[in-house]
Amino acid sequence: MDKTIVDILQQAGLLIAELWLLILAVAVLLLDVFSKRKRGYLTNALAIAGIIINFYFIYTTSQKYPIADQATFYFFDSLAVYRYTYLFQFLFNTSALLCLCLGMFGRDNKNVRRGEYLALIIFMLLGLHLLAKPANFLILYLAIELISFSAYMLTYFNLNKWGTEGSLKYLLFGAFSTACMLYGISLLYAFTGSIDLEALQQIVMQTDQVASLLIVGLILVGLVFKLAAFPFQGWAPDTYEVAPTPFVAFLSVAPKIGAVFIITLIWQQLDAINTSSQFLYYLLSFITLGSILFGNLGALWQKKAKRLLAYSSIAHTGFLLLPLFNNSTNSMEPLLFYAFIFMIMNTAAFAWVYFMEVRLKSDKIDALSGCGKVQPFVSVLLLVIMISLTGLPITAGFTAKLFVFSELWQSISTTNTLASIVFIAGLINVLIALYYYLKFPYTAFFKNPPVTTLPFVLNVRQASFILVMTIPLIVFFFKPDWLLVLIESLS
Amino acid sequence: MLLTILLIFFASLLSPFFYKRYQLATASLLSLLLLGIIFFYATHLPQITKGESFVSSFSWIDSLGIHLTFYLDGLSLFFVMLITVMGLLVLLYSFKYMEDYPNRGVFFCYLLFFMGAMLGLVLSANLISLFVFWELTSFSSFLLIGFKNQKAESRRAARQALLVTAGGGLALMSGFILLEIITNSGFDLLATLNNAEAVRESNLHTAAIILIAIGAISKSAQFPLHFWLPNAMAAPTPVSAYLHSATMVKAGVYLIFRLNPLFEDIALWSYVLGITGAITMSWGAFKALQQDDIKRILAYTTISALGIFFMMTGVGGEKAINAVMVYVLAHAFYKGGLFLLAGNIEHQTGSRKLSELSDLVRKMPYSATAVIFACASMAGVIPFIGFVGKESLYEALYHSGHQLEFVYLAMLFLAGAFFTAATIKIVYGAFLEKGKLEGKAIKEAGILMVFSPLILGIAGLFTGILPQFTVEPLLKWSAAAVYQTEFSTEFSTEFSTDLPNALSIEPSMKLKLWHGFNMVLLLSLLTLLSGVGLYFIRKLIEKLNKPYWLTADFIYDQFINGTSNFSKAITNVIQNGYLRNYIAVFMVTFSGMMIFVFIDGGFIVSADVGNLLESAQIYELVIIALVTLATAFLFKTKSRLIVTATFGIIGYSIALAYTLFSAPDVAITQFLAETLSLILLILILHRLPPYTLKKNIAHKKYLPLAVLFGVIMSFTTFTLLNREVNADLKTFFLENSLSEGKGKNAVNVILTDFRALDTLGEITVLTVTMIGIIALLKIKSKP
Repeated sequence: MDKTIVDILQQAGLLIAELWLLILAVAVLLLDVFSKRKRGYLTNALAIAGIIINFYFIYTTSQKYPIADQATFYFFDSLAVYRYTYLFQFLFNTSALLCLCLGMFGRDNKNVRRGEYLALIIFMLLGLHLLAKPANFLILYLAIELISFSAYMLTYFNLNKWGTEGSLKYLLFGAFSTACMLYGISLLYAFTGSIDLEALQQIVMQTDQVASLLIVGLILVGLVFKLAAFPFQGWAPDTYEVAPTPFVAFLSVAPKIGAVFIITLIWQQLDAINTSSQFLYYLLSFITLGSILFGNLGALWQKKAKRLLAYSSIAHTGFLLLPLFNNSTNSMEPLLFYAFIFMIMNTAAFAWVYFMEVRLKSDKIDALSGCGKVQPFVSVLLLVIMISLTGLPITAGFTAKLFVFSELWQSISTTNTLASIVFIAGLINVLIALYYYLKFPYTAFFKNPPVTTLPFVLNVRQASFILVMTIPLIVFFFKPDWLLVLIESLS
Repeated sequence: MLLTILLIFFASLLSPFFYKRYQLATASLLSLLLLGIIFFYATHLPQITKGESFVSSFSWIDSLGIHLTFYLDGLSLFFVMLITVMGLLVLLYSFKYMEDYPNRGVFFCYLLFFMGAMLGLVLSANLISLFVFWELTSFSSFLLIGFKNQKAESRRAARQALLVTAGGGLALMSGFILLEIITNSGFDLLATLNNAEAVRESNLHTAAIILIAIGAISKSAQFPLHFWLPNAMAAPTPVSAYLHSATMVKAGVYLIFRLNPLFEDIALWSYVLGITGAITMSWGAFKALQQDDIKRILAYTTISALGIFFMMTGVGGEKAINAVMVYVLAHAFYKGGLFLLAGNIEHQTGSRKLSELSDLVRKMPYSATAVIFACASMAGVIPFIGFVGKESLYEALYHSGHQLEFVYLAMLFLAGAFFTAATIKIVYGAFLEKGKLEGKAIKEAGILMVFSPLILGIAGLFTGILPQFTVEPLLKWSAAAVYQTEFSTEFSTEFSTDLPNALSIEPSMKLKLWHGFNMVLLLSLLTLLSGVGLYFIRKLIEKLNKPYWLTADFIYDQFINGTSNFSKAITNVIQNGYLRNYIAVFMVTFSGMMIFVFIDGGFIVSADVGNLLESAQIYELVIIALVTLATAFLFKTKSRLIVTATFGIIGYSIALAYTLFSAPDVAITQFLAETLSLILLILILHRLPPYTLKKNIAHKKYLPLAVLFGVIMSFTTFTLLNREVNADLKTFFLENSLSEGKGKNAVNVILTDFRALDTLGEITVLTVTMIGIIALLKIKSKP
């Protein structure tokens, strides 16, 4: 047999998790077609079970293709296993699992097109899995496209005209950013004749600043768009507001973390050369500061919970990028810790919003009035989630912020003046965040509902979902090392 | 020590569940628990008063080297005693006072939670955990102030207090981080304190001092962040007594005491504290006399007293610290008692406005006794502890040799006089005066509600008479920790449980009730006399008011509204829902980025535009003109059809340009793509709703932006033209397309042969998308 084919067959095991997801998506579609009752529970259960099994496949792959400090390349240098590849796959998988579990609480009419909905989420997860191991920009681009196209369609799954608008905006904006990214990639190709991630090093060495920064800048556009960071945040609030909430819990976490992962990869490539220009740091501060400030200011006056969370997730993006300021260490632990906690608390917050939507058909924060009196315990959970999102003790949100800030102050002590500005701005923003996140518990505890309406309550199933999501937020405050050990064991 | 804190938190969590059913049992259990804790800490007294200290440490965040460490020395123990004893008294009081509130179980939960947090704060020997407890006290204060949440006033006050104190906490945290950068001690308090040298030499200490001072100022309600405290009086009275006078507001004071050894040699520290304290002290005392509501009077005098603590810490030195420590104790005794008594008055009469009260000495004799005791102490009448405190303050200031000594002394004198006047106002107005309430049936408050304030009043008298035996041993060690550098240069940082660390030299503090006739006594007497004088001109003072727009409350409101409006405006500009606006934001960013790159790389100068113009051919200029005209025309038209047609012109022109530059295969591809998209666009056009944009003005604001972006892009492309391009691939495709791919059109060959797999992938993605879209189209859209 041809040697090439032998090689491919030998390395096919690397893609076993991805192949499994592909099979799963098809199976879900088929089951949906052939199951007579349109209840959707069966399809949902299949999807959830499949994703749980996928953890096992990630595990076996990680055993067979172990990680090393340096990336190892497969499939003729088109795929690579990086140090954090499996960890990120684990994160994406968990996020998808949470999204699907949350979807189980939905209304019945949501079961229209349940099969397609689930399949698209699994496709998106497949894209994310690929995003964790690209070795060249083509694979990266394909992964991003797979994620994006699934996301464009999933946005519409509330099946109303606002959904069309949000979805279309998302699509057009996405097309624009992707075009920029492609332009950057093609310029890279033109100058170096290569589309490997490592070609970035080459371009910085071979050409002058204008060309290299233009290329890096253009490629970043596509990623920053996926991140929903300033100045490409535009689509996020409009899209989140109209998309199905469980999907938003996934959309606002997984692609974001994936994009951060790619940006760190690019960062490492560029750092290896250590460009004399401070330009990239200016760009990074612009993006982080812009995201944090704009996200928080935008969230400050929102009356609708979902839109508020959409803006605030833009601010969290800024915090996720903070560890990049410290180029002296290549440790990604602070980022990963933040990513984990962000996933948990953001999903919890969106879950809360979803339950409001399911019951009240509205996500106005005012609808929480009186909740604290009727259900004090559940409302305390809400308080914990919101304090965690703000980043104050005694929640893991605080520990996460402490970790990312610690990266910053270490770079302050190694003479990076920009970092100190970002640092101070970040702290001020915690106060702004406190103001708006507090609206939730403030309304729940202190305001009384109008006499005519009953206060909003969660049923036992919903409350236990929230409880399960809240426990880690407290546990990882007291024992952050447990989470760090988990991160360590996967990387 | 950790155990005691955990026990309190535990009790706090359980109390709301049990209090509903077993009121009496829960109440007595809670009291017993607190008694036990007081006893536990009291057993440390003998060793502490010998100068020993205790450290206990637990692992927490190992990866950052952060440990959960607790440290007990004179200063911590003094505050622990304050917190637990006052806590017990307030708790006893509120068992009775809160009787009428339906969900008082939750109240006790919050109150105990606060107590645990406060204990943690004063025991923490780690800056992170100190911050954690600091913020927890802010949160519990938020919940407690808003406890009577039916009132909008309470809700507003709760939120205000939280924003100010939690915000100050963040400043504090940044200060701590700066300290960590300077000393690199893993946020360990004791190790940091041992590094005073490094802090003094670092150039970061100015920022650290200012940030930490902001934290302390916000928590301890110092000018200009004092405004939240009077508003916080919306809380139930026990809360005001406990949090907003005896303990929480003293957290800031504790903090500056604790960090004083680190900064005391730095002039900035002493001026920041001294001047803020002095201003707050006088301002608070002055405002106190203007108030009618008893609780507000007390709130302002509290602010003023906290100002005294700050000022004296700013003055610094052994005497000043000794004096301030006595005054902290005196203040806790009289102010806590007075707040509780204000609660009694409100509880029994339904009002706490002086203008509506009278005759209470006859209706509520026991409360009246306690009030008179506490007020005497506050005014500084002999032989109460307040007198001892005031004497030592005068004494310390008089001999301090500080530059601002006389300014401080004069202001302190004035504040003292105002205190006296306010005291007379309360005692005479509410208790002695006859009239308004004479005929009404008002009963004495319940026994639990009289017990606590009476105990505090008697304690004030007792300690006042015999200060040297009762409180001096602890206070002098407490004070010694604040100016510790003179006694011991090392704080023990051993991470073992309860390791005693003996100090060799005894600190000195000579407390006496009677010092003989001297200047200081004269000052005290004059203070009392001027106070009486001020009382008689109080009507005049009440008229002295700032205009409303200068009050801190107004500025706070403006600030909150302003931020909110500002954020609204920003969001409306950047995020107005129009896609074109988002694209505009992108273009601005990109242009800015490129301009920066060009300036940074020095390319503005080196670009050779002249050369480009010279080599231009006439037919190139025709194409350029065509494209430019078409683009300009886009701005003129309102018809979609014309827009589409114009786009076509631009597209074909570009294809034409390709032919001119000898790339016919690319050109033909461009022609085909252009034609296809034109046809598709026109097909879609008639299905779209009518064009809604009435005016062209909406477009015009983007015109300069578009021009800028165009210029930048042209310039970028132009500079890129000068770069050396890797030509291997180009030649490879051109040379091999016929021989390997059997095709003359290189573009086609690339698509269908060389990169056929990519094309297949692309087709697959498009197919998947199409299937998805068809599926969505089949669902009937609901409006």
